[in-house]
Amino acid sequence: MAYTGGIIAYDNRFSVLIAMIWTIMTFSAAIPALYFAGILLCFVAYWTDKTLFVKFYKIPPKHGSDLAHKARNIIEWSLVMHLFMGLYMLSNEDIFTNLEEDNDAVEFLKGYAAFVGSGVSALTGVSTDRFGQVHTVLYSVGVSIFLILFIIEKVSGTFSRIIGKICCCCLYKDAEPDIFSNDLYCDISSDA
Amino acid sequence: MSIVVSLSISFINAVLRKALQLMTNLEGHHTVSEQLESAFSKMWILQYINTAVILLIINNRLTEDGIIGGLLTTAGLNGVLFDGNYGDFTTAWYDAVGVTIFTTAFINGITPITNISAIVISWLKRCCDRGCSSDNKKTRKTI
Repeated sequence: MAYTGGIIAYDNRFSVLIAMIWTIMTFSAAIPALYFAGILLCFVAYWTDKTLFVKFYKIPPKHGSDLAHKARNIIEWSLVMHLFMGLYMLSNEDIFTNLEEDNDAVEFLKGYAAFVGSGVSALTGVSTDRFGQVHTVLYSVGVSIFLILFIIEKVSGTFSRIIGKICCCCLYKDAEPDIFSNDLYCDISSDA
Repeated sequence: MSIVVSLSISFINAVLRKALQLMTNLEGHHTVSEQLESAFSKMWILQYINTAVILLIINNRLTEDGIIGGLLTTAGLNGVLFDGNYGDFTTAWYDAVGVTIFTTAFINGITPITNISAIVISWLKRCCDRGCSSDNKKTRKTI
């Protein structure tokens, strides 16, 4: 045991993963090649950490899944950044040229798309006209649907419960608190 | 050039992580989990700013009509921040900044492989300890 390594640095690992996923999600709407970098990061990080965990590191303290849940919660918000940054990037008229000038169905939703893009417009000062293109209008509708579902999930947890019921064997395995946690104050409190 | 920038970003990220890790030790958390949580909550924000936000601040240019541009003008920073060469996400932006972002992401993707060197180093240390003998029971350590 003389040459056993140190304790795995979860903070280091999680921070790199979260920062890179946030970076990838920020720009990936217009640079899809970033998804390959993300896949590479997840694959390499998983296998190197697994190898080191099994063959090198000391047995770490019991953390439970709190850290992983916290990291997942942070990563979830990158979706909102992804959608709005995507709206800003994809609405550039010089690259994504609008060929359908008179589309009645899209005309109906133009004002609505401008409303969705008003946040981006207010922050950056770009014209709201760019959000009236066909592809941007459709994108805005998708953004709105997602945001409504996202808010419902965050407020009520409906979709997590549904997925939890469907996939009861692989989710919420550690819903019950550990008898012996690494939190002394939690262990000795009257609530425990 | 983009490779140099990407390598610099990755290096600065590594330094920031180490510095924050050391500083979090001084915060005096009751549990290891709290300490780790506190550390990575700060680490990822700094790394994200360093990897993505700074590239936008330096290279993109915003008009004064927006909230960000207005605030910068009020603060007298409009010539410093968001005063880059690209007024929008143009082809030139993807050529310069997009490539840098991709290279950084790619470098960060393969960087975890370097952690495997820890196993190799410990294996070499063990080998030196037993005098490069094939007998695994030999050691200079006091047992």
